[in-house]
Amino acid sequence: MSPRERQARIWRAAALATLVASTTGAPAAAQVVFGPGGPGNRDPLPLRGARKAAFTATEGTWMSLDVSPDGTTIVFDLLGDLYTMPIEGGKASPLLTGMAYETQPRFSPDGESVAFISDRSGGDALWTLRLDLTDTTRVAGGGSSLMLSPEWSPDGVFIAASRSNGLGGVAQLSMYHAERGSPLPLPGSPLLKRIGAAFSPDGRYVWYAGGFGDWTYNAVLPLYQLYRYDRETGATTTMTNRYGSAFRPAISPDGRWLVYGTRYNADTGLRKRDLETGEESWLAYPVQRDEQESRAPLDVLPGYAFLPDGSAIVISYGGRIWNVPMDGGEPAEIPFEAEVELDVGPQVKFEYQIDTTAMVTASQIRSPVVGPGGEQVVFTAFDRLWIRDLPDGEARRLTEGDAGEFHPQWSPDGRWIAYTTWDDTDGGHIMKVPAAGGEPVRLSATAALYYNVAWSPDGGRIVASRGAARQLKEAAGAFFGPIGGEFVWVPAAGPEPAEAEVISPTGLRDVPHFAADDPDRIYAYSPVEGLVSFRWDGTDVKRHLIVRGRQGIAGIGDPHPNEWEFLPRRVFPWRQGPDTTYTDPPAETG
Amino acid sequence: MLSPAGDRAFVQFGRDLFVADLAEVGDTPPTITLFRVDDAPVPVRKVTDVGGEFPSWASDGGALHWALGNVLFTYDLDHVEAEEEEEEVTARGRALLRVRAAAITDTLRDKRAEADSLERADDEVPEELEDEITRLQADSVQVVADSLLARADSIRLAAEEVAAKSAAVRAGDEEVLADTTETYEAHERRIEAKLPRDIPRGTVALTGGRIITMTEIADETPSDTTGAPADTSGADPPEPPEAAGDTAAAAGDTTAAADDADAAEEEPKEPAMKPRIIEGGVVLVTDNRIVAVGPADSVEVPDGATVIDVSGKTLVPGFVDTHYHAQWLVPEVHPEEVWQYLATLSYGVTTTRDPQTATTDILSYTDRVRTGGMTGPRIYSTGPGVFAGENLRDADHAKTILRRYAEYFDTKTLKMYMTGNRQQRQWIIQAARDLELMPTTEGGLDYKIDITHAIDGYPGIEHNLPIAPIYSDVVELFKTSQTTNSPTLLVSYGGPFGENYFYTHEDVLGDEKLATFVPKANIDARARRRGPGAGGSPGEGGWFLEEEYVFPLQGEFVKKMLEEDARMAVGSHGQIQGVGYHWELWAMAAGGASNFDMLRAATILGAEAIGFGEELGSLEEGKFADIVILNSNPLDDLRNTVDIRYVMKDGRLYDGMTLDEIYPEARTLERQRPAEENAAGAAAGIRGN
Repeated sequence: MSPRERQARIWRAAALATLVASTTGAPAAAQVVFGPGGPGNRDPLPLRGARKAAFTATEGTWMSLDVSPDGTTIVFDLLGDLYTMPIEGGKASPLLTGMAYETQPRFSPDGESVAFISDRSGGDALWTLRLDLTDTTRVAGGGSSLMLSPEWSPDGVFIAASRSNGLGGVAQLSMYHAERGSPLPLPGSPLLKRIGAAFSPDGRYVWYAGGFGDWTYNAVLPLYQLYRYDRETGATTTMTNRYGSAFRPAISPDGRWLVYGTRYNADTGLRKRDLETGEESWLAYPVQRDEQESRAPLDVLPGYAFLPDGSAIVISYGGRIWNVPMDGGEPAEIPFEAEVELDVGPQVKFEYQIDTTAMVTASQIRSPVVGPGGEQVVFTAFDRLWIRDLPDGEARRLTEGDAGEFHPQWSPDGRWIAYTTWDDTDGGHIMKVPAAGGEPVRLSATAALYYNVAWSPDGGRIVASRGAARQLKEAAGAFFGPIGGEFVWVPAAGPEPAEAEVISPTGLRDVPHFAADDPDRIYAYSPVEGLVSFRWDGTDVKRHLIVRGRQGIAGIGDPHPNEWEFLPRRVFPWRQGPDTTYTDPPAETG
Repeated sequence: MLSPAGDRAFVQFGRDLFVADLAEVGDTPPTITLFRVDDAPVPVRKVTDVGGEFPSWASDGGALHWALGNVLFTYDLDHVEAEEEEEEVTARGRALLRVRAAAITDTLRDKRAEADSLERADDEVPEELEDEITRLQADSVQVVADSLLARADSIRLAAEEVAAKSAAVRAGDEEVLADTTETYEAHERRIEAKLPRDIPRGTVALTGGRIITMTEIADETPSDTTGAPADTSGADPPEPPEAAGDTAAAAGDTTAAADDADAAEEEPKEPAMKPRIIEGGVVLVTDNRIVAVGPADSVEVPDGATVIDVSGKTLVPGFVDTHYHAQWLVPEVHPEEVWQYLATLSYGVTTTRDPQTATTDILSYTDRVRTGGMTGPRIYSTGPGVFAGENLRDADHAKTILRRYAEYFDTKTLKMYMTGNRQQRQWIIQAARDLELMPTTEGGLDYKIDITHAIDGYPGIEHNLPIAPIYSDVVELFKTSQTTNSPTLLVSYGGPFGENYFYTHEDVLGDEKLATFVPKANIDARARRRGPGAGGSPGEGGWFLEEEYVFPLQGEFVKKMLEEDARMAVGSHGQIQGVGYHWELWAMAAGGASNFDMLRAATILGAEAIGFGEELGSLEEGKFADIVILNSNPLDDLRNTVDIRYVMKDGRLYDGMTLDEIYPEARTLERQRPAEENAAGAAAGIRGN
């Protein structure tokens, strides 16, 4: 796919996303946001540690780090705690510990504070900490937002950071006044995930990596490129065009060098660019695998930094911390030793027994319907019809059939139960059986896949949805209802099976039913049309109610297409009742 | 669905049910938006708190019924509306009282003013005015008294209600329910439909095979003090630690042997252990449980027992698939046999845990397997996940939501599916612990979320950590948290899906067993062409250069975790039914994990991950008889896991190619799926000469 095609796809996806948001009126991610005084502030992280991961770490995963402005100290994160140590390495001192996850520390230009991301208030937020431990400030974020990659402006007034409204959102770049404040958005394409801000030394330019959407499974590269925003003119310029993507820019203290990460063959390396000539070469290759192919909540590479004199960068890869000279010299390891004492929540472990009692109690009753007068309930359990007296009574099978029995409905006079059957060999039928027990009567002449039956109010007809039996027999995977389904009816009286009369194609409508005093109209629900009714010949369609709703991880950036069960992209026609708006297809990401 | 009276409709959305009034407005029906019901143009009422499905109207429309698990709920709308009416009348009465009081006070003030002005005018106060003031004052006292009485009454009623409730709770008649927005709670009634459990009867001895028990015994070899097999190459199996007929290894002797080892070792409390692998042993099964495992001369086979010779075969515990999706179970009208479960069982997977189901149909399928109505593995599931849409308000709300799984679905577990921020996720793990649920989680490609799940002590994390490589710090964390990771490398995070590697390296279309159980259309969609959308695979790429795959790198984490006694389990994600489990196993081993460690992940660690470590996952006395009998030894070559001769599940022995039952009854699998028509037999078309 060419970049142009890809861009077109992203535009379409974004347009769709916008449409989805506007048709449902929902925010991109409906989540709880706690204001001051909300539960988030009373006990932001209620869980207390019950175990301890205590060990001496000499290597670590994805450690983001920074070098202090005076060049003497490294601050880094490890398993959600912050540590400092001398620039030469050695023993690390814990700076922030505890169960909160604190990460991506950056020194303020005056060296007195660090900015970092933490969930200590319950949600992801941008915080600053004075290194003398006299103050912490929540600068921005919290609630359901996700934040990453803070960076101070050279004058120490602002902190740039990226933020998205919960999982699936495309992170956007803003500056925040360090004394706390609302975001000052740095304009850019809302389709680009914009992360990893780096300022030029004069503060004029903000470099960042822009990714196409949040992430893509089975991605085809490139996924990120570098952009540069000019705070003076408001212009954004594309700065790279690499097959292996470009991410995590850093600018040398003298403004001459750009360093960034990229994939080359199957590995990741660091490029350096002379900003005067535009020429590039490798600074280090390979380093460690980047994170461009998933969400990169800690950016596409861990945070790294130039030494104040610009002679080298300090970066973690391969689980260790390195001094990588800008002049092409061999990287030198900066060894560290951190005494980790991480609080871990209590163990949640139970030993369950497998039941061996002689009788199995059905874990589920399906399609229960209470008869006229409320004296009995008929339902499906073990895929067979059962009946039970109310309020008390023993559940008993209603038939002796050995096919599946589904979707029971009482006749208006309460004497019969209509239902459908399914047999893997013979297909299914519309049946009825006396509520008092007795011989079932087959009402349909031709086997098919019948479902969702309803009695007409006068008890004369039984309506059902129908598809070819072949379709269920051949179902090879996702089967959420037949293609070409129809509403049909059969005479309820029997006693001989009859060919069903076709009412109309079901389309997306399903669950036919009636109002008690209106024998002329069949009601059904369609996720597109809402609750509708029509005549026995399918004409004169009226709409009665439209329902809109939205699931939690509303499709945008649906994290797991293989598990999108919760928000089917297709209609789920068999769900009982108006199963409301699965009409909004989740937008594909990327 | 419209009510019988035609004046309102119920709405099912997500896990919840609503009732909405209708309004006749011609061609533009009212639209209601469920997350803003207060703004709806017609009254909308949410009637569920813990959730509900299968809603139906009572025949007079006065009540709504629904079910959750095997509980029937009745929500008496007429009653609720009458109560609300009553409350409104009371409220109006109070308001009226206030209005009256205000009016009297006003009049009183007026009369007083009048009297004052008369006084100032030195006129005599007319007697009728005095009388009126007196009467009004009496009235005003009465009004105050009335209102005080009314308040006292309402306080007393509230107190009585609280007392009754607390008495009921103390007596155990009532659960303590979290407060919900509705004070009314639907009436609940458990409906128990019962059928006999399917348990085979009889005793069978599987004799002569190599038994990889997945248990440990004390290592008596002084030179070898490592607990686990020393080799990690995968090609080099550990020495069989027991010779055939070695009585010291008999089950009853293990403790004694351990004691001996104690005396000999320098660290007396930690005798070196080694895997118990028995050459030429016997597994004795009575009904559905293992009653003895040991060398031939240590297990007495009772008279009348069936003896099945499995000499030359290798016995391993039934495989546990901790991340299994049927992709997809047919909802509502259920087929009698489910091909996905047949395929899965035929490939030796005797236990499945589905960590996120679209619907609750899986509960009924489970019931049918338990009663012998359907052939399949043990089926467990989380039920439908707990998503951010639940909008968790506080810890109590989390508990209400989780009761769905503890009390209604009885799943023992749930999927905490990125339910919210760290605080909300902590509420859930706390509620789960209280309700004795073992939740699993998914970070949705967010490494940070995964790590916080481990820190918070969640027992499970589905899918691999998207960052690779992972170093010892994270392994230490997982060792402490005892969190099990099912990495599902067939759908790798952070790189191309592992399954694509196998589609380009395995003869999927030539696999006879797969063709027996998996519909041709399903295989064709997956295996004939790989690209975006092939077999439901998302993304852009389909074919990848071999070095682009990330699962070998992720396999290095698998290796480290298993070597450090942290927990990994095998989850196929249901990518291709049956054989997909073995692909996943092999993909996980690509980072150098030993064959023995991979078998641990496939059996005992998987069983422990889902809370059945004392029932399943190893071959030892007292455990359920889930056994895979392999033609070749997986310790020699992990690819031998797919070389299956028989599968025993819950004491029934099936042929590994056909799933025909061999013991206790000999019967052919009654399977009604139509064989795919051979198109070559069609009537027309071009024929070769």
